[in-house]
Amino acid sequence: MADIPVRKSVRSRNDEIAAENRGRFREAGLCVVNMLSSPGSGKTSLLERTAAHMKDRLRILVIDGDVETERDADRLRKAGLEAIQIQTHGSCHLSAAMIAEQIATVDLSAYDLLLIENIGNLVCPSNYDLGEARRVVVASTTEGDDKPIKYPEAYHTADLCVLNKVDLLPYLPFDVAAFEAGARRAKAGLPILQTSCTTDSGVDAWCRWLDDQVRAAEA
Amino acid sequence: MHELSLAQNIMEIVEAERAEHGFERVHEIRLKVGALSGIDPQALELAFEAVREDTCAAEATIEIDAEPRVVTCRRCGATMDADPGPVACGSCGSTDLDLQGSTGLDIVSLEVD
Repeated sequence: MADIPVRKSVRSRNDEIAAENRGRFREAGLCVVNMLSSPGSGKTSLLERTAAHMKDRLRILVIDGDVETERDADRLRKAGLEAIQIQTHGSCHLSAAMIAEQIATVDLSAYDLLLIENIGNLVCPSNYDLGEARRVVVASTTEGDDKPIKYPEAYHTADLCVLNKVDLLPYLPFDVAAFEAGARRAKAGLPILQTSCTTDSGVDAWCRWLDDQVRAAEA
Repeated sequence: MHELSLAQNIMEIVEAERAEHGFERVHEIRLKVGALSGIDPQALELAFEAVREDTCAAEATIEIDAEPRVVTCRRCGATMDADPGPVACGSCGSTDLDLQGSTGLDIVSLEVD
């Protein structure tokens, strides 16, 4: 019997491919944002609103992950964005290899911003680096204010939290302060924006945040 | 939920180590699981049982060193168990809490012959 020290991350292959993706993004000066959330939080609706605000001044590409269907990419194309759909057929997260395969034939320098809409799942996607520069967790008021303490991983790795569907707050027992405390328990000082895709409230602040990230990537 | 692909990743690393060190059998695989790794140890063990068949690790067991899930209070420094998820500090009542832990999942070592 012998003991062999390994000290290797089980996700090391994913991390290597993510590093290659990050290199390609940096070379192209492309800002890449990975969006995580539960199913139904409104990621696609937020992207539709983002299109309305930004598509005339920024060149935006979306990679949309779902277990099945091309529905989300279709919605985003109707909203005027270029969109690539990945159907994982069962896999619960996007991996760096899936992104590498999609961007292999894309001229990345033709875009300013790549938004990756991850599979609706708060657990698995948070552990898979795709090579993004920034990670956003989108929550919604209908999910309840305890999501950050139940699913801290997604919040822990996020650079920004968007609380969506705030137009419904008057009708829901949702405690915004408790939500914010939970999110910041997982990640100290996590910035939180409130949005409604129905009223468009807060979408301008979200777009300003994206503008800042795009400028940082170009610098 | 992706424990099967992680079990396959573990097996790939084991095979790479075998190519380098030339052992015949693996008896134990020691893993370090971070508190924020999102891993269900039981599901991982079950998935590993499925992928280890007909490999050098066919009889290997998985030994998991799980990092404790701990929350500390940013105001008074008190430490408490993160499960089921306190919303306020048990000592001073502050809601300014900090969940600490790693997202890592590492193979620490292999016991082989």
